[in-house]
Amino acid sequence: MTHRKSKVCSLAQALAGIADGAKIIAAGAHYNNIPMALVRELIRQRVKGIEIIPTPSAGLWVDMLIGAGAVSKVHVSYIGMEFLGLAPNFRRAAESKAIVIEEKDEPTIFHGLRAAGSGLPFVALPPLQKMTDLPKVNPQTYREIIDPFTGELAIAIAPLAPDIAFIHFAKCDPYGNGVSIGGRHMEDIIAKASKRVIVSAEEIVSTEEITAAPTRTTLPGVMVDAVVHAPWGCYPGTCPGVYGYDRAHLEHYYEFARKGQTQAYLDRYVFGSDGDAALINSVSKEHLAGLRLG
Amino acid sequence: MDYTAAELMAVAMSRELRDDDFGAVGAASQIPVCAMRLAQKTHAPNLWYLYGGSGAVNSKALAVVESTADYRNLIGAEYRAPLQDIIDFEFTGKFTVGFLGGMQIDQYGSVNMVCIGDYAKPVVRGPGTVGTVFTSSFRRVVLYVQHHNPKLFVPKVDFVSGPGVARGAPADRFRPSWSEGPVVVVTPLAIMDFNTPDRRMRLRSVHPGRSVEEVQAQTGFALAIDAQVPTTKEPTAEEIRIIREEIDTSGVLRQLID
Repeated sequence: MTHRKSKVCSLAQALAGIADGAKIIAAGAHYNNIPMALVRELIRQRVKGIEIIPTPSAGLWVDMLIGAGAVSKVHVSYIGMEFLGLAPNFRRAAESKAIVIEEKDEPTIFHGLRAAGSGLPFVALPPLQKMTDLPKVNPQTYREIIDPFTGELAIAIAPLAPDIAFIHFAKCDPYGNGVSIGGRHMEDIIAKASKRVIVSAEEIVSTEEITAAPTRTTLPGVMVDAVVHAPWGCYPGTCPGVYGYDRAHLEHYYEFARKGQTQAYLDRYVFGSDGDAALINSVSKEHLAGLRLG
Repeated sequence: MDYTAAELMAVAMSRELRDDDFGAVGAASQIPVCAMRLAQKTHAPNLWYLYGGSGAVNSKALAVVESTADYRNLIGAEYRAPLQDIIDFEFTGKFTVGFLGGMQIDQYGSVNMVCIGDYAKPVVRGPGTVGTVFTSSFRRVVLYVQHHNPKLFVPKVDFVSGPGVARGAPADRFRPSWSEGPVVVVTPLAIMDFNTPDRRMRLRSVHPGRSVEEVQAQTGFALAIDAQVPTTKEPTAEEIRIIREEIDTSGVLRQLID
């Protein structure tokens, strides 16, 4: 009798063996669907020298990893805290040259990932960035080529392939079939571009629940290497369809970060326990219940 | 008529919108969100709009939320666009109008999201260019900012994230033929446009209670100023009623700008 092998494992098991200097991407946009439980475990495992490949709109997770001293390089499209303001640790590290910055933008990161995920040698874009200062500060990314069909100028973007991708789902079955209730942002492209895909989920559901509505599956498990059960896995951000962001805790983090005290935040909420117990137990049950939807 | 600066801006921006527009906003864009929904409820019932981040198309969420990336904007929406759709719409000119702001704006409407000061040694490191490059490929760009001062309106931006280019300047040849680039700038003090021979910024109207001198003093370069500068048309009671009762029921625009 043979069995289909479950991909479910612990946070620590899922992230074991990530090398210093790994290129890491976490899915999500702003405070939505960010796999924060996986990011916090990455900090706990004290991986260093990370090269961050963010989605085009990132902030909290990048800022926290920089504050943890875990980052050497960031590809930048948008690193900010949206309605809270600039990202304090990113800003400090960029201004003091503590990190290397690859100055890019939304279409450059997106199409770089798409090239990697689709197996393209490069992507050719119309020369819109020629109207900006991006090619001046990052000429190695924005390569000018001549369109062989029209003879016009185009810009070639190389594939951008992360070593590790983190993606969070509201639901996932043991084989990695994930459902994002808020719909697909670019999880498919991220997974296809990345060498190893680690998924967390609010709830591990049966495959029967997945097969009952297969068109709702956001990502097929064939692209997934590990599945972690992580309730409140996006906290203090939003898990679409499950809970909203905790503005009070986001501001709490922001205060620590702004004052240069991120380590104190991490000691309390990240290193305070194995997994996220210290963080989640710090919030009252009533407050957490208020974030739940429906 | 009692209204806030943000509500006046939303009304002014809604009047820039056309019935056949497809509008796009980035994150944390409460004022343009309100403008598009107001336009749809008044003179532009066929307008379409998309919120970046959440990908919500024609969201009917009752309250204006802090973030357009918030998936709760999908309530009542007609479609959830993945990022690929949004970027494809941006490159191909499907968006007829885009709303953008920045840390600095210059006299040709270039926008800076990257740094204040020299790029190699920035005084302030900003969040980054994101999608502002598409200033070059939205058919029309409405620039808007919640502050109007000489630190924000500078002769030349320290980093060009979103290009505003003088007519005939070399970089202008890279702009797709369908794009007019920045066409209007809406601030808490005034409305500017680029209706000048070289596409330099012109003062189009000053908001009620503001003067031409005040607007020029708060702008770090010489605006083109006609002999007669009109006053921005005030919001009507009906426009404010629609905003407060049907769009911004949580009162975000009543608290946004001091």
